[in-house]
Amino acid sequence: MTDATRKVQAACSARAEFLLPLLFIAMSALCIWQGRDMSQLGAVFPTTIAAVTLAAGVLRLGQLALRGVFSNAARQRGSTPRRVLLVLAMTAWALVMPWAGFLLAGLASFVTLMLIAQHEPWTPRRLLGHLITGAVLVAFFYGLFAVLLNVPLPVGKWWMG
Amino acid sequence: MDMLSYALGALSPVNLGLALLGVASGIIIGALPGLSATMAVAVLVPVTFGMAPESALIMLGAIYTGAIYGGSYAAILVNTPGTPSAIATTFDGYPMAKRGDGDLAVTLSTLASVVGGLVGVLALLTLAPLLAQVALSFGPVEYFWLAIFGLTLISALSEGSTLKGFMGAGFGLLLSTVGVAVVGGDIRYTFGSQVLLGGIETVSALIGLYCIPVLIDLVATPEAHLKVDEEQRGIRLREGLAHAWLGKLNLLRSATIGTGVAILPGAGGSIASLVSYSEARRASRDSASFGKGNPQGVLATEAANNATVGGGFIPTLVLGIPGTPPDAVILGALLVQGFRTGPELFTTNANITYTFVAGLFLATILLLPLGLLIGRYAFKSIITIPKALLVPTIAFMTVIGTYAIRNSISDVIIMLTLGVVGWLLNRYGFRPSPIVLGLILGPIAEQGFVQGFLMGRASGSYATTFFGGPISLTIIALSLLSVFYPLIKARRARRRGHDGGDSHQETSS
Amino acid sequence: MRISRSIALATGFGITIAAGVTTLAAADDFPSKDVQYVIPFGPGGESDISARLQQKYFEEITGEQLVVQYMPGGGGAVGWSQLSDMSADGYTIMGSNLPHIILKPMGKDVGFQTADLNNFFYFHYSPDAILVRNDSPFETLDDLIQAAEEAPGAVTLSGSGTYSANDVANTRFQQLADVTTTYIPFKGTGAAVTALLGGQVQAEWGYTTVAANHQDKVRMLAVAAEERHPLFPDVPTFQELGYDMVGGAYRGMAVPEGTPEEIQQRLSDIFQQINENPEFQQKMQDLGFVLMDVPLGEMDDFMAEQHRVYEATARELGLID
Repeated sequence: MTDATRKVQAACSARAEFLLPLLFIAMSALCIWQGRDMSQLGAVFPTTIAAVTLAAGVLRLGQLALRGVFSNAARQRGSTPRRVLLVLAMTAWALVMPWAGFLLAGLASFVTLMLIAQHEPWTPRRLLGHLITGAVLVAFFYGLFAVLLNVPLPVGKWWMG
Repeated sequence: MDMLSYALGALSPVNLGLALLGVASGIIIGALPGLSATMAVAVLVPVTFGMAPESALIMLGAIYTGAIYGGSYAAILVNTPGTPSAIATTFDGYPMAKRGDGDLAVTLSTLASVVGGLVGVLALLTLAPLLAQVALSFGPVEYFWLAIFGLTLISALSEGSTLKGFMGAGFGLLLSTVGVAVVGGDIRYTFGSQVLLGGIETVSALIGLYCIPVLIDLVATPEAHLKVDEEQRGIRLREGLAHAWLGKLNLLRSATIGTGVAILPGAGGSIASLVSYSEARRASRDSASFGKGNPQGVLATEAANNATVGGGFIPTLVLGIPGTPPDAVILGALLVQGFRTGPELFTTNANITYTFVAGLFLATILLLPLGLLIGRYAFKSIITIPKALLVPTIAFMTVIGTYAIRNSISDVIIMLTLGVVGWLLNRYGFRPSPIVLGLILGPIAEQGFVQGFLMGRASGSYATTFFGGPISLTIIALSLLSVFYPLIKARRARRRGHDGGDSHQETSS
Repeated sequence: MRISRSIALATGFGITIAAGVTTLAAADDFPSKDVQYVIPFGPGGESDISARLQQKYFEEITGEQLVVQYMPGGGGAVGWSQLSDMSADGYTIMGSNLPHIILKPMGKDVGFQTADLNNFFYFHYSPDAILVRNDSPFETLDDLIQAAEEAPGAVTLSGSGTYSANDVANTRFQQLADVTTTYIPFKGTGAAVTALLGGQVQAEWGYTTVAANHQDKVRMLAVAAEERHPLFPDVPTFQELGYDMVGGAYRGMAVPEGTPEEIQQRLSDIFQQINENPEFQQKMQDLGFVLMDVPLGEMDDFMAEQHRVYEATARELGLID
């Protein structure tokens, strides 16, 4: 077996391959440290698990160091700004929903996400069509959840006075 | 007991209509992530108060059957288990959909669900009192070992590095301890936050870990969500039947496992489908293609999870101990209606019991036409809807679905956080499945262990408590086999083939 | 964006009007729409079943639906900590459970205080009881106590949760009978009774409701009620046997802080009326519950008394110093 085939191919960059086990080790250490304040019955399980996770992390680091790593050139790419925007939009949605109410927050987020997901240029017809479909979909979900399934969706504290 | 007459009673036009309505609405509810079978059944309970008891039971059973099946749509088409029992369906269903075989996957799921459902109901009809005793022989220690057995699936589920799988599972297990502990009462790892006090809700974690990464990558590129072939191929029923015939052993084995696991009140549909998935993978000659869109993977999980419907009713009806959460709701409805579970359900109350069982049969058979029809529609809408509408629609389902589980915005925040974490981890080669496995098995393992520990202390011997029972020993043996079987298999293959072509390079992307 | 804004404005406007109208509505025509009944536990438990029983009669009395919702997590803490954020118009009520609402917030922060819950009616309780299998060697409570005396800690009792009604009952029992047992907490009464039926534990801390549910397989050694339960006339109470134990899991309903007094009174009256329905009484009794009436007017005294009782036990459990 040649040296090259023994090398571990990273999922992404070689540096990240080392970084993540370190993060898991840190998380496990934190969990073990926090476990000291718990009762014996409550601490035994998480402490054991954290110890195993920590050991797995250390072993992985050892494996990487012994065998060497090369970066994965073929990893998937794409528009990172859009990804970040999606997460931000959804987080904002969740945070605003109790205040603005389900319908308002839902409609606004629907439009925002629509804009984030659209890669082709907008034509007035397409925009209008999408907006109408969006409104219908929001109304459908609202009807399904609030009316049929009796889920108490947030009405919005801003409107409750 | 003239069972046939009860079965015919179930076939009255009104009941038939109710079953049809129940299955159809169940499928739709189950297909929406976050709307679980439990919720579908719970919503229906007050409606059934005004009905004749038989009709009410038929409708409850129908909606339950439909919802468990409907969970596979979201799993196949958007990589999100609509219900926890559809987790394993994502493993092969989504890759199939990605490469353009989503229609076939839906058809396979329908066929498997019908077979699994029928096996489960048959077991309920014929073996219920006998199998109920099995449920009782599973105590805390047995559940602990069962969870350990479940955790041995990590190596099967983590393509690439097994160590990464262990770290992922460790993360999931630690996540499962967040919140107020059942045993010991400690408040753990909430870091003073009330958001985490109630623990991490499993379904919202599933939505986060599986669906949010799909969304995040969906917006990043202009390419279509699923690959679509130009030609119209209908529902590909013939092709599906061929796969099902090829996998008939797989189907039967999975349905049996599903029924067996569902009898254990502490386990549930997610474990049933995971176990049967890994067994199908183990038994297959082509185990490497599992997880990359092998039709047999879809068959195995869907047969297993629909078998849990009938299987779960065994302890529910015989012992009054609900086998799965939806069973708990149905049991509650039965109690409110004034029924007593137990042996008299098969004697004095036999007419109602057998009508119910007949209703489940009916619902399972109705799955075939309804499932193929609705599935075809779901598949078509997912592939034709433009991306700018698909993304907000899926996002909508994740947010509202997560919220609806326990009417909590905190769960939505947790779901999104886990989604981002899951996406990052996946990018660096940590699959979501080991994490989810840990999250699901964590409470079973922990409670089983601590309860077993207390029992051992009371009896004076930890060894006899943990290693004394025949069931424990069997499960331990199975776990060892599960760990070492791949090694044995690999060695045998090497001895047989000995070709130098296979490199040991890891592909953990 | 313009379109969505106008829709949003219209929606917001509509909601504002709707909210205004409901605030104006007087207490005498309450309720004029469905009432949301949030159970801070999962479905299928006793809180759920008793709520489902109330559901039917609520509709008979008011003509409006009582919609049962679940908000499980943290042994009820998830629901109770969110009660104060809910609309205080009487259309959202939440199940309230003793001793949970007293024991949970003791000595630690679980997101709510006992005083945050405006309880308006307590309607029943399920008395604590020690259950054994039908074939158990323990024929009487004395048999169990004797076994525990001979080998301290060897008698195992399953129960639901830590610092729960069952845990409290076990602690008090150990104290009163001066024995040591091993209490094994399970997730929920269902799991605890499964362990009993499967023979993993020798006895179970449960309720009369559990015995009613599994009549053919289990029997009770003693019941922590003031009188023998009509379903089980042969089972003695703890008091008859010389142990001063009366208690169990009490259930009622609460509304968020700021709910108008007259609405609370109206709700209290409605649920009292349900409690008076003979059909409801019969159904509850068949399931093993014991009905009681603690209306709004008597709530403060009732809660103060319960607080006193459980504070003493909490000290024993080591929850507070």
